[in-house]
Amino acid sequence: MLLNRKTYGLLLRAGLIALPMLWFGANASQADDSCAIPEDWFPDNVPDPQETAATMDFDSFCAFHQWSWNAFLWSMEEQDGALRFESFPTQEQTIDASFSAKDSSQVLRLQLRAGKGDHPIDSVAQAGTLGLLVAQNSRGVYYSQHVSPQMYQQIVSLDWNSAEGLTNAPDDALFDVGNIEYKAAWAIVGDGFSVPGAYTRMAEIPQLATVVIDGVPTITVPADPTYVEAEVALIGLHVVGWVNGHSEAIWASFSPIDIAPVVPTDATGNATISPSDPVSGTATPFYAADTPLSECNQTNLPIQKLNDATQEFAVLTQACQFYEAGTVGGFGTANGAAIEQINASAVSEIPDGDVSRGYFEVGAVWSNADKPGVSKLNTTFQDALVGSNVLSNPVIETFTQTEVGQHNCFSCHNSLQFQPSDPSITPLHPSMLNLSHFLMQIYVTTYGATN
Amino acid sequence: MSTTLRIHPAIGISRVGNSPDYIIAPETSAGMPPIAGSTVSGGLPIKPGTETQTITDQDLRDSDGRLKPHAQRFRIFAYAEAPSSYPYEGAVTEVCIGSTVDGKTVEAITWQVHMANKKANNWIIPENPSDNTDWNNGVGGMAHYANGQTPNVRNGVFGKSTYPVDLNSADWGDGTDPSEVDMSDPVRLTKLVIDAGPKTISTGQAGRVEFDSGACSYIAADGSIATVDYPQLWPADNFSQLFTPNNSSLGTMGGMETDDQGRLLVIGSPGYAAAWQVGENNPGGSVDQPPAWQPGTEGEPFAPPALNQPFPLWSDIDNDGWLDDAGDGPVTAVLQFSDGSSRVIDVPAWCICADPAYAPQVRNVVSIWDEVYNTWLRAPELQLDSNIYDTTTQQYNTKYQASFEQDVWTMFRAAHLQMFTTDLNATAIGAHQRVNDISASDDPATYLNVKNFIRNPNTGAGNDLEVGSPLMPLSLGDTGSSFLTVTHTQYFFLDQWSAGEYNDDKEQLTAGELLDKNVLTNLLGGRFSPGIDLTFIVRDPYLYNRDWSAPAVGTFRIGGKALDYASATTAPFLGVGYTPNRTVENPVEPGDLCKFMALPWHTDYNSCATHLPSPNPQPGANAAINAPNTTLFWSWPAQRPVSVYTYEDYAANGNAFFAEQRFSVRGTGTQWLPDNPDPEYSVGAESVGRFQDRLNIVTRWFDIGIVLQGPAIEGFTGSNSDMFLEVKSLLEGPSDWSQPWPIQTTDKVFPEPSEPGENG
Repeated sequence: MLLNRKTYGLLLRAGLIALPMLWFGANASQADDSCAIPEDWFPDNVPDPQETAATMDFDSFCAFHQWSWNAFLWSMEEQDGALRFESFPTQEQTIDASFSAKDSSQVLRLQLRAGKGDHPIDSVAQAGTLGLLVAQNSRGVYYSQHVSPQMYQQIVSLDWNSAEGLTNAPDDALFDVGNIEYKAAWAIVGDGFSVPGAYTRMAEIPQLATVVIDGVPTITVPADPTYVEAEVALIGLHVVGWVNGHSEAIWASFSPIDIAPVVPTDATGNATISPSDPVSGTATPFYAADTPLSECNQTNLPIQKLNDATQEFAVLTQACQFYEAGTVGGFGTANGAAIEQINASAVSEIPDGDVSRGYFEVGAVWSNADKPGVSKLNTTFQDALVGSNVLSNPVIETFTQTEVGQHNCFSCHNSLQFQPSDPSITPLHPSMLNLSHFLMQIYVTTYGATN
Repeated sequence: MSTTLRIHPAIGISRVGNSPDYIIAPETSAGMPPIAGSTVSGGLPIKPGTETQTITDQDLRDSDGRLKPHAQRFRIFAYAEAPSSYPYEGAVTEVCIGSTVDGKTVEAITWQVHMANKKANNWIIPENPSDNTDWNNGVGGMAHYANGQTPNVRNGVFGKSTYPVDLNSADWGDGTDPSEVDMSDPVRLTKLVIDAGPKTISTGQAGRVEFDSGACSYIAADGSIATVDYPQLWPADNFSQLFTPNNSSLGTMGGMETDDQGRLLVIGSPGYAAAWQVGENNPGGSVDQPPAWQPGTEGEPFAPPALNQPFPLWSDIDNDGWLDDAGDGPVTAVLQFSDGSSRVIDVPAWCICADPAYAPQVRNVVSIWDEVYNTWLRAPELQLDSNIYDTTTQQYNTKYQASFEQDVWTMFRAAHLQMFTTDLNATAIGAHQRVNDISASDDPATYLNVKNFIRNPNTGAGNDLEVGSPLMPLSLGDTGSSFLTVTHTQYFFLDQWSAGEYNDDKEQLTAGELLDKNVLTNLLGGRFSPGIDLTFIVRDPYLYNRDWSAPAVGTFRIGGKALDYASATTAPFLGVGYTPNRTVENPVEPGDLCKFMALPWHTDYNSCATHLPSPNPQPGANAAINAPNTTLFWSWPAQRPVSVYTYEDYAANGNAFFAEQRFSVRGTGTQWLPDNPDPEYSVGAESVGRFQDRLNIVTRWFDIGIVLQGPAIEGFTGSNSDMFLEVKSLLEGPSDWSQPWPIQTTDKVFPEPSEPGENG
């Protein structure tokens, strides 16, 4: 029997389904006391997360965070002069089914993160704010997307790299355990500006321009941009992995340590400082020291300007992390404690010189709706989230951290019917595949070609 | 006598305007496809002197720039056979001058209207959930009247003391415990009520009959027209020192005319408000000194007014000491035949004077029609159509085929149109556009999973009322409910569509019934705290004449009290009147409908742009809520536009869509002031798009622009007629920037760019 969310709720109230937090509560307090990265992962012995995704027992907060670190460390391993994930298939390569291992030396081409594109219809509440993240060097932040070769193979072999294939995919289609999807955020560095602890590389970035769209000047990547080479720093990485028993995936996010100050909040999630109080006296690459809370995470849209020649923005973003560990209650919670512990172990265990050493896990969130008889279709998982259930990366989801309905991964990435923003595109039936915006963007991009 | 004569619409709506001219209130349904011969969607007002010719932007204001009120056009219909069912399936003809009724020729028609306003002698409008949780879990205004209770009372110390004991800004609007107030006190019934008394007008009678202090007359039972020395009630007679921000002592409640067909036009009042001085709050009694007050008192930023000052406007909804000139009352008529005989029509109607229609074609997702129809289907006292809902089993008929256009698409259309009165982002606009484009031939499952995207209206444990996205409608909810829900019947219709139980049938109503429905579809439903046109009382079966299958009653008729004008004395004619407690016969008097609206209406209109939900969802109560909500939502965007696309910007952009919006209420006095002492305006993002001083809405409401469909705007060019743009705004001066949604309380407020499209 397939149960919808309301039915699940009824069963929950009737005591027929265990409450996720209760289920984890017992384990978490026992298992998370010493959540750590295993010592034997170093040097050069990080297990393949595609394998551990299938073999690990995901029975505690720590297990999820441990796998998240596993996947992150493995993805960040250097291979042929680049990080492993950088050589993984891009969206274009997936659409064209043109990826091969020999592409690993490709020059990374970045796009501007100018708000989110297509969301399901829930984005009426959750849509991006159109805000642009501007670092303290006045430059915009860029991003790239990849999937693991294993995920690529599944997508291509099942024709999910086309709108037609996605339309024809069965309702019960699932991603294979071990698949990993990435979203990386990159800041331009150099000229005295750096992101401490961050991995850097050269990349081609599109020059931005102020384009008039529907009469309104809009800062964006023009239709036929000019690319220039620049040094960029990896300032955020979402690692989304499908693991045993969790077809909704673990959604983990990493950034360089101290990339943004954390807003002090109480046990109910409300800030404990006033809007005029500074969040921190310490500057970061995305926050000026002593900036008051009221200035944090503002889009500044109506006053933002771009100098087309210098590519510098007029107004800098002051990025603050609102929920420590992506959790209301922060490190004081079982989930937060596990994150704090494993992050501390990362500092002590990851060898000097390893590009991952300067990073920390912002948080990770998953669902515990994976019960017999409980459908994960047609849900945003909001009533069954486990882990960092208000997870936002302060340099990737800067402007929506407290936006109820958009303040965790599953708000946007869910198994509801996918409603593209283009009204001429037919919605896509509910599916666990809809969790992947990598695929949903492929659906939109290829829609005209196949339908 | 074989025919039955009924006035339609059953409930009509005139609208305020400060011009002596008028336009005719719309007779088509907001946003619906154009009627034959028209190029514009339904909901547009009609040019005076025409049957159906809709207005253009040039008709909205008079030559002096004053906003024209809406006149509700009432018509008489003859039902060939005794109507006892709904819809009526027999022949129906309109009765005009020269018509033949039962073999007699109509030579003249005399109409009678009695408008009154009882707002100041009424209960407050609670915004919180009711303690009566056994009644719809405390949700909705009716719950506050359950179990014999009523909310607190407005002007509770009037006639007792000068200053309310709690006259401070923190408690202003909370009202007085009903046990401490005798609302039937003649002093209250005299001084807190505006009563124009019965007025008549006959066809052939030149000019307008004002609802003012002029002579009263009424239609007697035998059809004759009788004069009466009626005890009218006017503020200027009751208070010697009125504060009149509109330079009006509220001496008229509108007026009426007839057209050359003999129809009645009830014209809205000027839309003004006035206040009495504090020193006149206890007429004939002692005069108290102002209560002690220390500047800077926490939560009480304002000093109590002095005796010679008017009462303040400290509340959005319930302001003691204030009056406005809205009103409502019964409409009846008598036919005078060429043979000298006459016949009083069988079924009277009711007219309500409401706020202006600032976006008449933008449909509400939940309209008053949806509310009324839902009530009439579900209430055991009414049982409108057991083929849809069986009140005995309390079940909908899952075999019922909903009309796609009338029952389902109406919601889709409304969802789409919200983009023209709110600042939606592009994704939402696109998603709503797709929903709008769904046709009856489309497979429902392909386009919208109802269960996942539409909020279930059921209250109680585990309900959807506090869950925001992805559930729709994503607007603020009813009293005690965080978010808006469609009615149970609307939800049922969506279910039926989703299950394939629907058809493409067109409307089957007779002309009069269609008029009843169309008028009500143009009014705001769903969020009754209190609302704009009418409020939660439309959910009370006892509001109506429940014997509707009787030919002389009919559907959707207000249960009006029989008024014996011949018995009028110098004492107040009207009493406390209707109470929505569902327990006793409580016939409705003139003024009993509008009394549940805000006092004055202006302040509520001003306030209700965007707010935090109330109750604001907090983590803990619902597993799906995991952090405190800081997001703002709209109150009544179709009826109270928040952000608009202006025709001026459209034209300046080369007659092309200009994507940036402006606040509807903008210009001088609307910019957020960080040092505004009023706690209501302490949060910037929650205070923009409205006047910062409530008094300014009283003096500027008529300068707000109107949203019309492109083809209704003279000079409009462009290929997309599905464009609704604001015209004729007279509001100028600096404004705040209208931020695309989502908006959080923590978002900074920016001034509007000085030139369209200018960044910075």
